[in-house]
Amino acid sequence: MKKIADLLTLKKPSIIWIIILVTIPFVVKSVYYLHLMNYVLILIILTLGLNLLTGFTGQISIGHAGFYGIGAYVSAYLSVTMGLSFWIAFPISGIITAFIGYLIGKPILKLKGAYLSIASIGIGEITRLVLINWTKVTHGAEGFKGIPSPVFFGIAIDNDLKYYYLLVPIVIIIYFLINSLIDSEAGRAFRAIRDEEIAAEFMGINVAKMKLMSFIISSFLAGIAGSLLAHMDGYLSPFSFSFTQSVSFLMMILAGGLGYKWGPIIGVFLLTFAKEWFRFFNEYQLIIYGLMLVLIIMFMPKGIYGSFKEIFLKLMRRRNEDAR
Amino acid sequence: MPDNVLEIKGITKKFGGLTALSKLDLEVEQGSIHAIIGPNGSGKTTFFNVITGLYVPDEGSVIFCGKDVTGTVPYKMARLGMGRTFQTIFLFKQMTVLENVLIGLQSESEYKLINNMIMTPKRQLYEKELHEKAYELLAFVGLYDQRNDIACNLPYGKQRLLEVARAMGINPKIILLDEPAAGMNPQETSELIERVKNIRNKYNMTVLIIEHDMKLVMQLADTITCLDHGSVIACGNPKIVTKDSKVVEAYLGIVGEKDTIEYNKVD
Repeated sequence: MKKIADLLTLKKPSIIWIIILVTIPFVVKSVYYLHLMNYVLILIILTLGLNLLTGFTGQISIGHAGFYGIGAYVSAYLSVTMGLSFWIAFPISGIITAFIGYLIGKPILKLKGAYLSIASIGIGEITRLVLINWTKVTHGAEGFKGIPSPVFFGIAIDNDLKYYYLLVPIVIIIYFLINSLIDSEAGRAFRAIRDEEIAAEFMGINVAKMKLMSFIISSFLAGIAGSLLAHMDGYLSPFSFSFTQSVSFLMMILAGGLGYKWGPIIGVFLLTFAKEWFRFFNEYQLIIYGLMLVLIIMFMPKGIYGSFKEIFLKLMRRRNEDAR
Repeated sequence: MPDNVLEIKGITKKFGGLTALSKLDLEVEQGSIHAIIGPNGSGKTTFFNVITGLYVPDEGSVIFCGKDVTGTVPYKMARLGMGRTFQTIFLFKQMTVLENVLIGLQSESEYKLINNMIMTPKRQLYEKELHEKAYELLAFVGLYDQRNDIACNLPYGKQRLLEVARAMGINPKIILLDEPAAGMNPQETSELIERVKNIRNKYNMTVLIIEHDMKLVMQLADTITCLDHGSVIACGNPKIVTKDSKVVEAYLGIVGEKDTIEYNKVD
């Protein structure tokens, strides 16, 4: 009985969030916002992986748009050119991206700090150039057209509302798996590597292997996020997987809170919606968007979630001291 | 079990033109507290780095528990049972005190992805065991009350103790302490002496310790080795080693009258 109670109290906040996620389409009727919401969910999948790599393992990658693109194009190629169904193309695109992540990660993770970031920029750029120039497979600059919508037991998931309900369970499962990983002993090892790589090595952690593991997981998630994007939009342009995109993924995590479980989620929401709301300022949109980012980084170096958490903890401590 | 837990045979380590260690021999007896002293720059920390596998020696071999482990990478050395602390503190700064010790305790883990992604009852039990062991180690070094603090917020002396607890977590056969008393006040130092004795007596670990504080060394060590310019100049019983003319010379420069100096040089 007590065990059940424990379980309930533990999972209560999560259940509330799941209910909120499921009911959003009943409240938000605008197709435009729902489409934006789908985009946010896809980016959450990607940034959860990037946060594991950058926020928890401390390896900064500025090339994740590349993996996002690889996942998207693999999925498109498998479903259009080879005629496979979404349910096969989706996992395979993740696996292939993870494998490419393994091949790339093995050599470049030997680099440290800024050198790794620069190498990752290179990886992102190489991917983009391959997507543009390998016309036989990727259709080059004209883009990949006619990617079919997923079909779920005879129902075509062809509008934003249906796609939303396809994304929600995927995001929830990934969120729980990633968080469970972060809380586990592997998660502790990741954080140890982030804080002090040499000491981690002397504590019996195979640093190279753990970094590679983190890199593979994050590229897998970028791959399936790409696949979901491909089947949502039905069209891919190689220009959308650019360096700017990679930087904006990092910005999302930074603004939300690097190395916090909720960081990427809050960051993706905030930056995606803020950019849309700032359309109101017409030509000043990007200036104000940039200003907002600068202010967040200046006054909340730990990101929005991190800073609020810190303030909350400080208040709690003060209250405990007063009670004494 | 051989008598010597660690045997170093003719280790040479060069950094470019600088010979940091030259033909160094050392034996560490099972269950002893062995101190390494020597002036600054005499190669003590380099010596530790060679034993633990951070540096590969240019010549010579490291024999650990009867097995040649020369050139084994640090994480494998740790798994074989070699724990160490650092001269400059290398804690996991953003993690809690408890988590720091848990990292040491989980050193045997293979990190299978599936086991780590799903919280099974078996894993919960394993985590609980780890926590209990961590509490015991934290109580041993006197950090139990601060277990939920962030490691970098601890005072300097306590950070050193946390490093000791973390290294003890990997359940080593030999524990290498690199200047554990640096930055400690006299009170903390005398507590440290008791703790290091207990590491040997209670936990049956051999202790190899680098230290400048001679008071501490004299109270703790069974054997002292003095290094200078990368080679052993004296080794043996503390009382004899500290009176050795070469040791005194290495620390204080040449002492005595002109005749004695020449005598020493010839020797």
